[in-house]
Amino acid sequence: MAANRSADWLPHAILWGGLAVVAFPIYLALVASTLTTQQIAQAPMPILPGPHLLDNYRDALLRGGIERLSPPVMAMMWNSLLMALVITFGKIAVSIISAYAVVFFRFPGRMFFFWCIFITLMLPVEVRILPTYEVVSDLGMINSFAGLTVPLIASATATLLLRQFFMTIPDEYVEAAKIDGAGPLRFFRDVVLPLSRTNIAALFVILFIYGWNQYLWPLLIVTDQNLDTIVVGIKKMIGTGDATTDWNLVMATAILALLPPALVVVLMQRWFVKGLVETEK
Amino acid sequence: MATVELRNISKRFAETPVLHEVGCTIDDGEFIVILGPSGCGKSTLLRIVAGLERATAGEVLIAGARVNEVEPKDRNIAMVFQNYALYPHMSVYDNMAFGLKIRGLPKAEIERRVNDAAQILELGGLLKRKPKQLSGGQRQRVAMGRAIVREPAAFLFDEPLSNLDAKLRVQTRLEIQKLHRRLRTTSLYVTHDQVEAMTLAQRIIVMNAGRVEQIGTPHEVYHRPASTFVAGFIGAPPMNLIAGRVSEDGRAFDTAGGRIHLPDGQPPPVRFDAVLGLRPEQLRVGGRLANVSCEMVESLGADHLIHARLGAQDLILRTSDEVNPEPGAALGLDFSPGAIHWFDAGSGRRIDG
Repeated sequence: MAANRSADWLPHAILWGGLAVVAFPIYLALVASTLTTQQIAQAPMPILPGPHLLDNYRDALLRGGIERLSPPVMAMMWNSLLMALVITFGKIAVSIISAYAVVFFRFPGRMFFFWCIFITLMLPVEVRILPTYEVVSDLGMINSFAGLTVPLIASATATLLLRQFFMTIPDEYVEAAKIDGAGPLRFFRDVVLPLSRTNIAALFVILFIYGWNQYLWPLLIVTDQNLDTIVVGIKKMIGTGDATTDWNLVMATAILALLPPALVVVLMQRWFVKGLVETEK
Repeated sequence: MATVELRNISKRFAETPVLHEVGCTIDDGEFIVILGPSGCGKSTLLRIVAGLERATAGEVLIAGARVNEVEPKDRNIAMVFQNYALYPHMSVYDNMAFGLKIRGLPKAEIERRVNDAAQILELGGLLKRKPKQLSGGQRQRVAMGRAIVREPAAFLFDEPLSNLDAKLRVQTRLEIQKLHRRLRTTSLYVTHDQVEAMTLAQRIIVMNAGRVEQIGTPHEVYHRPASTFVAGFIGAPPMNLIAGRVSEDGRAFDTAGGRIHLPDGQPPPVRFDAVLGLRPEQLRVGGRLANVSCEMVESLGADHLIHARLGAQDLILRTSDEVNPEPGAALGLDFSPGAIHWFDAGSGRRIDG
């Protein structure tokens, strides 16, 4: 038994080490966000947090970067949040309906359409960005909130995931529902959706983080500062050439940008752990 | 409640024929069992009546009206599935109420029907539970409750007892019987278990390879099987079927293993190759009609199963436990003329005298 206990500390030590490596930069950013720019520039940077926490965060939130390189972080956070939520709900809505159609209906070309959707997994945003830009531009959606969200709403990942889940729903439920008198929409609302809750929760987290972290597309499509997302905003706050950068504000913004996705993960965790624990039969 | 009529139902899946011109008229309030081995098409037939499958040819009539093109929900039938098919995220109450809610029944009426069904099936305390909190027998009762509240023209049971253990099966079988006696709803019940068929049915449709072998009461099917298939399927242990040829004078049956003398009183209806059928419980030891050797005796407690051989032909006798021959002993067989069943050697169909 003694051997077991002493061997126990090694995996723990490794895990703590890994955690330290991942968490340390975030800690440093947090510390940096509580100092002044001079203190940061002066090497070595203090390891312990400084006194300017509230000042820096207030500045960032309300006044934005120096020389108005970026709008107030508050506004950008709001843009990001809205964009991420619209993309998430849009993706879930579209995918759940297409997965439902592919699994529960028989129509000509069904598998063809499914494979079309599946193949788009090979085309991430970066690959298709030029044609997408052209289409969005022709539709006059440049520099608009619609242009920011609509091109990102179709999701092959979500459709695939939901299709796999729907295929595990036993045929008997469909037949019992048919005999009970439920039509396709009724079956969808009263049987399929409730059973999909945990899958949708998991998807929500994945898609929200994906939407929140979008950089390339918002950068390209938005020129109006008021529509900037926070991820783009952080980059913009780092001035190049002559402009000086408020590093403390940049750090504060970075920390702020971390918070919503972290919150989403923490809150939604309950849902899918719950789903994993209760077995349905 | 209504009659259900099947007229020449045929079904093909792609190129594979599954049902051949199945026909039967089920009377109002009748409990009919569709019995057959796995793969004989009985579940397919039930699903065609339910509307979950389309017949390739033939007609289904419920309450006198042709329903081939009618959706399952409009056929006024209710189905009990082998795997219960209860919605896992809904409570027992909601499971039973689902179909009624869809039909727009007023809440008070739904409550009345669900509570009545719960009372009949003794589910009163379980209404708020989810299916995963119930035992197999309770789930099956909820499935039956879901069917009862619909007050349909016919109940369709698809091997409902197959997923239950032996003891529960007996219990639930009795509950189904009580239910039918109480509600008198026309019921179609599919099973491969002949005990269920014999105990529950008012009539049995025996099926084999997509064809109807016989339709009759349990008594008819047991005592006058229409073919060697039915004879061998109903009854445990199965009927002894011996191939051979009736002798010139009609007083004996010559088989590859030896001669069986036929008792006086009923001349055989054939004079050539035939199949002779004798039920194990109607064979007695101590006679002179045939000479067999005893292979083995199995004790069932109150009965003995004596495995014997007539040449290369295996025979089974069922006797009381007082008859206990030694393995290897020679036995004389006796049976009465009424115990003999004759079947055509080629088609297997019954030959009546």
